[in-house]
Amino acid sequence: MDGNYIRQFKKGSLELILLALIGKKERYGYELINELNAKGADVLGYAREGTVYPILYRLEAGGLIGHRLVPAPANGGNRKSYSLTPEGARTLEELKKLWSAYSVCVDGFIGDTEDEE
Amino acid sequence: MKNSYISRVRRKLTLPHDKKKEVMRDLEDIFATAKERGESEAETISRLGAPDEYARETEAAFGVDGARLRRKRLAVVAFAFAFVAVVALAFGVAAGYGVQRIPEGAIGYAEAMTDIEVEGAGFDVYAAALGAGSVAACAAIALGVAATVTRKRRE
Repeated sequence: MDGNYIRQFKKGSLELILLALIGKKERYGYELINELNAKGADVLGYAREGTVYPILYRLEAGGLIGHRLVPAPANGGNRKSYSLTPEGARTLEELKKLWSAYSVCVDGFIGDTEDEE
Repeated sequence: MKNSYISRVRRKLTLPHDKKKEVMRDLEDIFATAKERGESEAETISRLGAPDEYARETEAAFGVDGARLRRKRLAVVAFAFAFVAVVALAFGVAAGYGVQRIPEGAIGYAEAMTDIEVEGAGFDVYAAALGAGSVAACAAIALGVAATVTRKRRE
């Protein structure tokens, strides 16, 4: 299948997944990437900073997540710890509902292609 | 490796200054965290992707059209130079006019040079202003052309 097609498909769901992960608890960027790779690498492909950080910037610019800087002496600076804003929590709930309805709907279309005749 | 990656992104990334500062800080953080976890710089870079693409994706995430913002900044600098050019040239011409003018009611006027030396007159204001004006005008024109060319190329 066309790689670009798959990439587009995954990108949309990645925003929802990141919101959900951050919604469970406050997390660092690398924790998000680890978690993605631990649970979803086989389907979503390996999560990379180059994909995840732009999405985090977009979510933050949209006011859905925020961060605080946590001192990290080992790397000589601060580390960003991401959390949901109230607006982000609301959006997450909406997106979760939409996702369930969406997957049921898509399943309805692709599930019974054979019994149509 | 890390440094050349970061400086490449810095060169390619056009964002409002505070946003850019944040992105560059995060990149340092990404490398530092990866190193702390025993990852090589090459591995980190392979996960970040090509620097040009990283810059482009990040611009897109902030909803910024980098090329457009670069042109805008170029145009601002070109206008500044053009302004300096106009002021300096006007000043130069005015100063030059002053040099040539014979004061009103002057008695006698030497056509030839005198050998009176005025101390501190080694600096010719007229020439300096004209020079600065010409340089600024050239810069303004060059920047204007550059901005137009990059725009055309994009389209």
